Amino acid sequence: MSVRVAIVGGGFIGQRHAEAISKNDGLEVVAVAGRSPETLEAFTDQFPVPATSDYHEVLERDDVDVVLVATPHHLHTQIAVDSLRSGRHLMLEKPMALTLDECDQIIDAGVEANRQIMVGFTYRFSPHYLAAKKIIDSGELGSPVLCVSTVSKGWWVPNRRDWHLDRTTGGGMWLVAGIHGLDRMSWLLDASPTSVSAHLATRFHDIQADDSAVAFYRYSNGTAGVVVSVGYETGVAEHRTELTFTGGKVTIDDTNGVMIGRDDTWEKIDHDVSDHWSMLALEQQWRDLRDALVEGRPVHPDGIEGRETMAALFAAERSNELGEEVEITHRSHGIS
Amino acid sequence: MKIAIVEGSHWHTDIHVNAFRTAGCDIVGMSDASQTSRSQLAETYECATFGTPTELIEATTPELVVVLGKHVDMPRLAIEVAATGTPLVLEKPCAISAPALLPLIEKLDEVDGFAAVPLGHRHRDLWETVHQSSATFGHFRIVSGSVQRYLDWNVPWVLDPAASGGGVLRNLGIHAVDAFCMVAGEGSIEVIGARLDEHPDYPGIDRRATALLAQGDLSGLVEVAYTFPDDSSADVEWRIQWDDSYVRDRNNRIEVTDIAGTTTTDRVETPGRYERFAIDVCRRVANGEPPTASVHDAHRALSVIDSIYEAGTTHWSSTS
Repeated sequence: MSVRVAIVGGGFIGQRHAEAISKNDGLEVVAVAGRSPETLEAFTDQFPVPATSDYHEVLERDDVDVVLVATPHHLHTQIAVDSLRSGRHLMLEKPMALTLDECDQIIDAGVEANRQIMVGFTYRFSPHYLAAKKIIDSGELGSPVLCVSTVSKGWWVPNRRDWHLDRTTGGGMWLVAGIHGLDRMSWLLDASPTSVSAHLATRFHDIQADDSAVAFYRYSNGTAGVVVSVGYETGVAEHRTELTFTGGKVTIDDTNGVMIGRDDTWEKIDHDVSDHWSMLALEQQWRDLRDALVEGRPVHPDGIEGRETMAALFAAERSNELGEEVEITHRSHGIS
Repeated sequence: MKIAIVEGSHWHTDIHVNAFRTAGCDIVGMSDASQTSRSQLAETYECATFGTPTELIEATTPELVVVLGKHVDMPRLAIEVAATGTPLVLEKPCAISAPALLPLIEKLDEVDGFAAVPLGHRHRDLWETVHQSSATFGHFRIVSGSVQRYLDWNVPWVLDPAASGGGVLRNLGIHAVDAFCMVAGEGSIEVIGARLDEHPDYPGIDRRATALLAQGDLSGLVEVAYTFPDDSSADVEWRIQWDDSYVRDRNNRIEVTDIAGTTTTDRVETPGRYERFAIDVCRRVANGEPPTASVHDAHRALSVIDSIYEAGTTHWSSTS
């Protein structure tokens, strides 16, 4: 029996998810909801499923197990809460929500409905990051010391929308893409950020949000890391994470793959290299959710982890406003 | 008593949870720096989990905190707990070296804090045997299972000397060295000689350590290893020669020989050593008494271990 998915938000990202779902056994898209008739038409041309402009209608269906929320960021919370309360599990695109209070509303709804939340940190499922994570977790490189995570890309990608250009609707490079740099750093270090000192600016574009940022994080395991987030006007893309361990170094690059450096030698690590790694990652993310639901085990990254990343992102914005290091506090897993 | 545990992904968490629950305590929460571990701990132990000791203590207001973690992090984490005024238990070996433990000792002195170290052998029945004379020889042996256990328990940092402070001598040797210190009583301990056998796959990790120690008329042998063929078992033996008697405690069989002959006692220690430790700690915290084994005791044993590492000849094994 398939895990049946309804997609709320049928735009570019929603269509990418639908493609990833369709490539997996045991998963199927059964409905889509979206505000724009043109977007819905484009979606259903590719994936012929029932479509509606009112997401409540897909929640009333009796053939939906999981709701994917891939709407503009400022619309996440209500749809996520309604989906969970309707008894559906949730795949929630990043950023989770625009305030910690909203994150808590989503998590609470999941707890009350006994339904799971997976947050869409796709890097965690990509072939090159999974290959690196396996080596790191084996301990062969020793303990982590520090990390530099860079997300630098052209801001005007084809799927850029008006709501990406305003912080009040969840826009800006920091929430749209810099979030990946932070989440993958925390995941690779396997630790929680405890404080941050950050600089955010709007230097390239006339938008009501940031397009460049650098943030220094201290971590719960005594390590530290830097996130560089740039949405340039013109330049060269760089998506790269560099980690230093007590016994060596790892670099993970979207173009060049994984390199391990130790004893004055670099070694390229074989993994499933593909120009389409982001689609492979999305497919893997859905397989993870499917298998977790079928086997009855917790999903990762869950709502608590999603909130943790949001708390660290918001704290960086606060640090930029205050011009000082800001502490980050997190919500607990489990019974409080 | 409300108990919280710091760095719950440590392989001794289960031991402490069971021991303190046996002692009538509630586990109110855990912290762990690892994101992954926190959700697993919350599910396994059905308690709230947090990223740092400070968050844990603020949210759960425990009456006692058990501090686990990487050896290199233990003093820092314990200082964070001590600063809140909460009594604590600090898992062995407490630090990667004796100097690394000093900032915690200073902090505990400053806040007049309570810190007990679970040196389980101190709760062996062996010590209940009574001797009227001075000890002249002691042999303390722990031959435990292979290093693969630490990979299986998802704590590979134990095999990273920067995080663990060394191999079996640092990790398990503290029990044996502390036993020698107990028999020796006060006064400085001399390292006569030692040999360390390094694990071929893990540089800086000794898989066997043998040291000859002395104090006045007392001499002793400490023998610890990660080489027992059965990972689920171990060979643990304490042998002590007093002027008037000879005591051997091997895997819970105690033989006491004196001029009247040999008495053998087979005992299943109920409650077990960690349960005894937990009951003892709770009682001492409640009564405002000092711990059975303190960080000062751990510091003394770590100093001897530092000296063994310094004095020992290292042999690099050629085979796994």
